Amino acid sequence: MTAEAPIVLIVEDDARAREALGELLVAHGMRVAVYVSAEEYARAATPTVPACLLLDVELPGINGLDLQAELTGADHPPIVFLTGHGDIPSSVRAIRHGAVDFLTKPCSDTALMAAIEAALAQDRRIRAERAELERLRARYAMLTPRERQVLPLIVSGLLNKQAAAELKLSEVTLQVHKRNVLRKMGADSLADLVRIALWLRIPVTHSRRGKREA
Amino acid sequence: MLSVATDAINDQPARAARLVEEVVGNAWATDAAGRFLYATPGVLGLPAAGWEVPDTNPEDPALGWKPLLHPEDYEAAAMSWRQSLQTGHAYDVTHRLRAADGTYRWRRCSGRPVRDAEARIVGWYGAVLEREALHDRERELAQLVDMAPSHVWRLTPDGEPAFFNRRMSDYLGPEITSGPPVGLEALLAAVHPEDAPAFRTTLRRSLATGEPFALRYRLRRFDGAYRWMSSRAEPLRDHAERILQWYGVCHDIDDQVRAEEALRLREQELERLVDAVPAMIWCLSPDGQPSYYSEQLVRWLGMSVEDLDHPRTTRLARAAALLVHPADSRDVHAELARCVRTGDPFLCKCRVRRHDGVFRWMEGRAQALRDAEGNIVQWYGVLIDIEELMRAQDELRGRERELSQLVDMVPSQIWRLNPDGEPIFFNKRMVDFLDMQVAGTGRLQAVIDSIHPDDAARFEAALHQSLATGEAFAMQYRLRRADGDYRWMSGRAEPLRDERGRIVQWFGLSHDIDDQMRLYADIAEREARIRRLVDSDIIGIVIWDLDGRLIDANDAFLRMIQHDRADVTAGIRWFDITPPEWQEVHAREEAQELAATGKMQAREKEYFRKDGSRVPVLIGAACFDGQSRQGVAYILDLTERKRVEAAVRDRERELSQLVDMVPSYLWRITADGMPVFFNKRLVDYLGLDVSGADRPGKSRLAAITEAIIHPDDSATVAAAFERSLASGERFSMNWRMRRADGVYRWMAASAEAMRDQAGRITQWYGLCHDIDDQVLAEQTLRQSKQQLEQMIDAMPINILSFDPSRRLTYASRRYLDTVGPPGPIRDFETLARDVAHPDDLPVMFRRALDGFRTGLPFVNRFRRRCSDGVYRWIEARAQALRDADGQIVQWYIASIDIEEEMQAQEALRERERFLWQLVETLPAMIDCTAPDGEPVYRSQQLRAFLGYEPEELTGTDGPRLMQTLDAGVHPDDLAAVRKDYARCLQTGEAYARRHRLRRHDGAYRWVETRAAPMRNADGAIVQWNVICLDIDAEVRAQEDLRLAQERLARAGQAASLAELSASIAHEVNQPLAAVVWNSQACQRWLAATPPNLDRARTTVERIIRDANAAADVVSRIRALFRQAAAPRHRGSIGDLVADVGRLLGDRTAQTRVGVTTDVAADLPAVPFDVVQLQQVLVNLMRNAIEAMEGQAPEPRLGIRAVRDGAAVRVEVSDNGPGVPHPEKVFDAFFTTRPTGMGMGLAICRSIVESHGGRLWVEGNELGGATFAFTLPMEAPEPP
Repeated sequence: MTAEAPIVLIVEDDARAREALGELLVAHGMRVAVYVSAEEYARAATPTVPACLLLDVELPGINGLDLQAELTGADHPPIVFLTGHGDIPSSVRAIRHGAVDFLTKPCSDTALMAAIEAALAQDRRIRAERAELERLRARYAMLTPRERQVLPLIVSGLLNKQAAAELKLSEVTLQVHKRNVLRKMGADSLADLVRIALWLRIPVTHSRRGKREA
Repeated sequence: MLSVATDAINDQPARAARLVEEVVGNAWATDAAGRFLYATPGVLGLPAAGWEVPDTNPEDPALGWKPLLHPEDYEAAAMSWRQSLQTGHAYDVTHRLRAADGTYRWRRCSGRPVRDAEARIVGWYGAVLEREALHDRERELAQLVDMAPSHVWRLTPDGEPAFFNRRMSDYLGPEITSGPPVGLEALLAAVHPEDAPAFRTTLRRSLATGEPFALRYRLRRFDGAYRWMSSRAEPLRDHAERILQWYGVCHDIDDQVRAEEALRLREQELERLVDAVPAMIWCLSPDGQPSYYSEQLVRWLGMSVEDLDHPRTTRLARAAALLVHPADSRDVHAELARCVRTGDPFLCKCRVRRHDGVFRWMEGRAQALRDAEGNIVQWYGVLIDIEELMRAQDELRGRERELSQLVDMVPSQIWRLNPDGEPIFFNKRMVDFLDMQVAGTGRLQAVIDSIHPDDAARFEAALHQSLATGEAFAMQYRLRRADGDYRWMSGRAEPLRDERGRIVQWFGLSHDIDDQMRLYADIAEREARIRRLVDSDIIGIVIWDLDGRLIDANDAFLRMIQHDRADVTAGIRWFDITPPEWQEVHAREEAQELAATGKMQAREKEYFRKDGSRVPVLIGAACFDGQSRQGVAYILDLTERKRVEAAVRDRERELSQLVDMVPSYLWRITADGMPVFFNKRLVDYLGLDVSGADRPGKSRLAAITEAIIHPDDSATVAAAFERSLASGERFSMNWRMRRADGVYRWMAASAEAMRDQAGRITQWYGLCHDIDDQVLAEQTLRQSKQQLEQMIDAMPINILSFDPSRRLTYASRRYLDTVGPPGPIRDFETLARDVAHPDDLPVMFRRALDGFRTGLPFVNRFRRRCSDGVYRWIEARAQALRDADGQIVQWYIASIDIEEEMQAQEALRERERFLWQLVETLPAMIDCTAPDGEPVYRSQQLRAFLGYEPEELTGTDGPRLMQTLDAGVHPDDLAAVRKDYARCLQTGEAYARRHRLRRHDGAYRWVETRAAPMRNADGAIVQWNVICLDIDAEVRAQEDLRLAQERLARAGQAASLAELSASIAHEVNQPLAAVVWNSQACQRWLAATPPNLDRARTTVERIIRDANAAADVVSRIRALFRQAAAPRHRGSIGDLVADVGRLLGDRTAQTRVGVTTDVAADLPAVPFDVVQLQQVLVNLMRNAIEAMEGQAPEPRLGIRAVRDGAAVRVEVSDNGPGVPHPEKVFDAFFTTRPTGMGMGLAICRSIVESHGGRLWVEGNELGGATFAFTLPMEAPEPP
């Protein structure tokens, strides 16, 4: 199994249910980590591989829904809820807060595994995006101050001439900078650079028709 | 009036009256008794019309006349009138009658009786007649002439006497005057024979020529005595200038003539005497004009009185101008004029011009001669040559003045005042004099208190005057010296002003002038004495003969030699009064001189007084002309003059001694720098006198300087001299001066210029003090000081020293480097204000002042500003240095920088404050105790909770820990808490416990107390730190939760299965879900390739286990609700009770219900359904707890299990309110509580009865209820 092998994190207070759930997922070839309570889970380290959180709603102390609320905004795996007696308000609240699925015990392994796979896929995508952004940020960090001035001008669509005038540079010099920016940011084309800039949330401050209002 | 008269003319009587009035004039008529019937107005002096007859008194007929007559004439007239009325004789009297204008005129008034036929008098008619005017005058003049105090006479033109007045008649006697006319010869016979020829001649000449006659002659009085008369006569001429009469007057001037005669005799005698006396005598007329100069004086002056006559000026003015020195002339003239005006004796010293043109000092004295009435008749004066005396005295005075100036250089008292007059400086001399330091307050008053009471008010007034106006202050006053003596001081002060003219301070100087004042007093006294002598006519005059006898002497001389007149009469000889050493001189020189010249020039000698003492005199003598055996001598008493001379001489000698004896070297140089005087001391020191170093071709100053000044100093000395001589500034410097033995010694020299009135420098006076020892001592001291300073500067502390008046005397190098130089600041206060941080200043300053006052060492910590402007903390320690007498000599202040230390402390303090705030504001109650548990500190929260301060617990009621626990911990928890505390304190284990703690309002609240020991490095416990959390809310929340659960449980008792499905589902779903997931896992394990049989087996076992568990739950629920016969096992009732007790443990703790469990040990096992009986027991216990809730102050729940025959009886008792309806409680749906369903006890009873037992309730004796049920040992047969 590679380091990228996904893992399912189970939070369940009932020993028999926890035991059975773990057994089932292992039988499905999943890596599993089990936690007795929300507190125990909170103390554990966030996994570095794609993961899914299988969360019982009825937990002693902090229940599953509360844990979800606490995790909101943090870097955490997608959640699949399990409940002994699911009610509609709870499920609505869970889904609204980003849960992948809300399952009622006892549930079939098919439904369970589908929910888990969906959650893992979502986690993989998030991780990839985050890695790409990190890469772009690293590239952006390599730009010289002058290149960082040039970047917003060219992605704003200014002509070389305009951009050069804006920075009080010669057009040739600007073109050199522009080439360096494209190269350093790993952009294949100007359009690619625009996309990257959008991703990096670099503001578009100019247009060919004049300076935009800040 | 005429018309009136015309109208009345027809009237007969009126016509008669008018006739009378116009013709007769003044007429009157009376009746026989003398009463007026009629009078013309003229009688009354009234106008013709409107007159009225005067009313007459019938008793006295004369009274009618009274208003008309002059009072003097009335009596005589009245008498005549009465007589006439009586006798019938005619009345005829001359008297003064009142006229219309009120004046009296002489009138003749006559009246005659009118008789009837029988010759009886029927009335009187009379008339008033004017007398001729001459009659009046004659009468008046006669009176005048007779009454005049002179003899008045008249001669006929040919000289025959025609009239003598009564006075003259009386004088001459009846022989001459009886029977006029008196012949001229008879009159001449009365003139003194010696005067008769002159009289006759003069009279004849006057008669012949008509010139007035004037003559003094002696006239024989009736008694034969001749008296001097002054007689004058003048002719009376008619209009034709013919002489009609001679009128003369004759005064008796006998007394006057005799007085004149006597005076003339006396004057002649005096003149002779005066001319004989060899003194220069002069006389002045009463108005001060020279009238006589004695022969001697004329000779001396070369001028007589007559030579002074000048047409345009007086003799006096001319004498003053010609004879008196121009410089004295005005004074002499003025003084003389004054004396003449007032009559005071004249005394004046002036220069008088001798005949040869030389002016000599003369003493002039004059006194007025007065007649009997005190009028000045003449001034007599004497002029004495005092040239030699004056010259000698001038010389002495000049010398005295010089020496005095020299003496004045000796330092004086110098002082300064602030503008308010408060002294701010005394020099040492003054401090020594007053024994008073200037430091302190109220010094001005202290000085004023030291002034003689007689002078103090004057001094104060003058000083205040000066302070107020800025005028220079100058006065003399007596000042009390420290030893109590008052000494005269001459104090002067002048203000120093700044550029705006405001007075900054006063500089004053006081000379001790006590000696001068006494001298002045002496001189004044002497002067007064001289004046008295002068006033008392001091020229002694003696008449002597050549045999040496004193024939006569005046009082002045007798006073001189203290003899009286009787002694003169008895006989005194010159020989008797002349001291032996003068006798030879007397015999040889004076006698010879007298014999040869008849005179003896004035000379000074001495005479014995009667008492044997000597009197110095000036004596001159001359023989009388013609009487060669006798002469006159004049003697002046020279005692005073001699005494003055002696005093001046003594003074000069004294000063001379003083100058030589002053323990200083005094010298004097001229204005142009030439040394002219060294005092003896200086001469002795130098071994040379002022001229001792003179070298040709070199100035004396340069020569002296070279000779006596150390070569190293001479250049600066010369320069300083040059500067002072040029500028007139005070000279002051130290130099080394060569002693006679060649040793140079250090001197402090100073010199000041003396100036004349015009401000020109006349002299320089100088003074040298030997300061060699002092300089050496200073040098030694300076070396020592340098060493000390180096030492001090090497130490890492700053040192300052202050003198006892807190003035900065020293600052170490390090201090100067650190803090910077104090600049002009000298006193401690200002320095402190300058460098100390304003926030620290008050405390620091107060401590310092306390220290300075008490003399005790003191320490100050404060921020001090360094030279870079930064304040740094320092610690300054001050200590006083005392001399052998314990007096503070110096204050030393050593300071060290404690900035780091203070910062560290400050940080610590900051942290402590932070922690403290933390502790105080933490929402937890914190408590610190000593190792034995006694409270040390309680946080604000804890104190507020308990409601009292730990200090309020007194130590007498046992340990305060125990007091706290006893008072605060809930009684139920107290024993356990005390036990735990005791154990922890003993063992040092950490402590943790929940218990109830009484709040200040009496409510018990749950708290969790944790305590941990704090140990020191050695592991010993130094303190217990206790935190006490209020968890009451938490505990109550748990209770609330449990209540909710119970409510649910209770609901379940009677609710349908559906209602309970939600909770039951969870119970069942867990095992069910586990079964499902295990089954699917098992399926996966079996489906795997190869199948994992081990894990499949494991999962299958778990499936069976979980499925059973789920079935259990389901069947138990069914048993409960369906009362289905559950399989009954024999079990222990004790276990059942214990299980239920545990189940409800939280509940009982929460409601503070005390639970006692009493299960008999020998209970047999009985068959029962555990779940059912658990429900029954829980139900009963919960009912009991709820019944007691809020009803019993100390709820008690008792559970008892005993054997009851063939059954076991279980009792649940409470101390609640009891059961009001014992039989109804077991009915279904009966409840006493609003939330209850009324099902519990019904179900319980059915469960118990299904077990073959019984359930009932009974009341307790002490209140409350007991529910009991039995379970038979043998199970009943199922129904």
